[in-house]
Amino acid sequence: MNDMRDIEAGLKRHLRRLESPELTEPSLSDLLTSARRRSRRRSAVTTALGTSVSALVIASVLLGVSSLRQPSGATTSSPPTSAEPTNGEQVTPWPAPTGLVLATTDAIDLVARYEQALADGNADLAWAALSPGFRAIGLDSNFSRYTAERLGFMTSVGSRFEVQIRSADPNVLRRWALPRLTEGADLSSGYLIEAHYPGLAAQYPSADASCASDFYIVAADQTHTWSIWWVGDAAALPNGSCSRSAADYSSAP
Amino acid sequence: MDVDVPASLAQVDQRPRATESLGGAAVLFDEMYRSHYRDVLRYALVLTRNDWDAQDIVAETFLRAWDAWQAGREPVGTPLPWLFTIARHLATDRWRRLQRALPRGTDRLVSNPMLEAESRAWLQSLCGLLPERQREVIVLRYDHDLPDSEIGRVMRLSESGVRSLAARALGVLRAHPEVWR
Repeated sequence: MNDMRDIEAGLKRHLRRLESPELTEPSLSDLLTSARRRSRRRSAVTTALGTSVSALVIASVLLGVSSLRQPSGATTSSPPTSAEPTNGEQVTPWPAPTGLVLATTDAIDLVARYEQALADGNADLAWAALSPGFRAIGLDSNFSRYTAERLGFMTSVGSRFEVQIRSADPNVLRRWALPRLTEGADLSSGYLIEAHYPGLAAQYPSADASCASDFYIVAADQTHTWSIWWVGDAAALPNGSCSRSAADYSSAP
Repeated sequence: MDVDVPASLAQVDQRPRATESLGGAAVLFDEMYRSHYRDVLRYALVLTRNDWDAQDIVAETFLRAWDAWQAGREPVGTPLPWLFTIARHLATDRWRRLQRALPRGTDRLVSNPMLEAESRAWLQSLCGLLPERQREVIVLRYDHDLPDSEIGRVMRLSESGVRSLAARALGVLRAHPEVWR
């Protein structure tokens, strides 16, 4: 019995220490304001699809390269236009979120800010949300929290991560999020980025897949379904000379 | 069970300031908030094992509580179990979303700058020893001194279910004095 009392007393003591002595609760007003902002943002991102101006973005990140394997002799790849990988027999597990996942979640956040500012009638703020000044969101002390929050929008489907977000303006990806998604690419080793925009058929310059160690393929089909494939192993792709260099990226539309 | 914020909260940023003009209800809510902020935070911390998540859950808990309070749905009796119930729903919802998103085996006890190193280590040990529901019973019983009936209400368990979980947790802890000494 004494043993039990000791356990209980010890647990109480430890549990009461589960907060910093310096911790002071924020004012109720501040707390509610920040909570409402987050709810609003989440609501903006996860609201059911349906409005005619909405576009559905599904960013799919492949965990392996097999689905992108090209026929022998091919030198560049056309991005798949479906969110489904073409096959998956050699998919390997992805051990942890990578830079691309974080970049993807950053992009979601940016889109959400952009949408919210538009919805609030603040066109200037909407533009500012897309400006480099807002890049700091990924660097502040709350990054873990924001990341976790945004990871909550991601679902694991087989070998992929899917991110769903609707955007009133698909071009937002073209202006900002798409280049940002490719920031993690090692430009010196070459990369492949191809983007097909619904109705636009615009294309980013691409380096030959054969000289890429990490590259991304981004595609959107006519149903506004966006797919992003990350490929980390160029060995599975056909050999060939690099038809384009990273410098081509500077001439992106 | 996602966080369901009514459409009327679209103008949200103004509403917290409205607490100043709501008189008695707002004052009472503010008192409740000050009394129980830390309780809910510690509970959320044990549930989530991550203080960023815990702080988010606390904020959302009081947001939902405030909405309910304003709508005349304040709790009957002591508000703490009511707050815990809200927090628990939010934590469960968040856990489900993260389970779908995070690779298996990802350690959610990743960043707890709010905690001192000793407490962080202790929490990690506790989490390693006890499954989530046992941990929850322990924290509700020994940190917040809730009776088993209230714990059962929060966790949707019978009193005997609560006692059973607590007994199993204490049985494990008895063999690990380093966690409670």
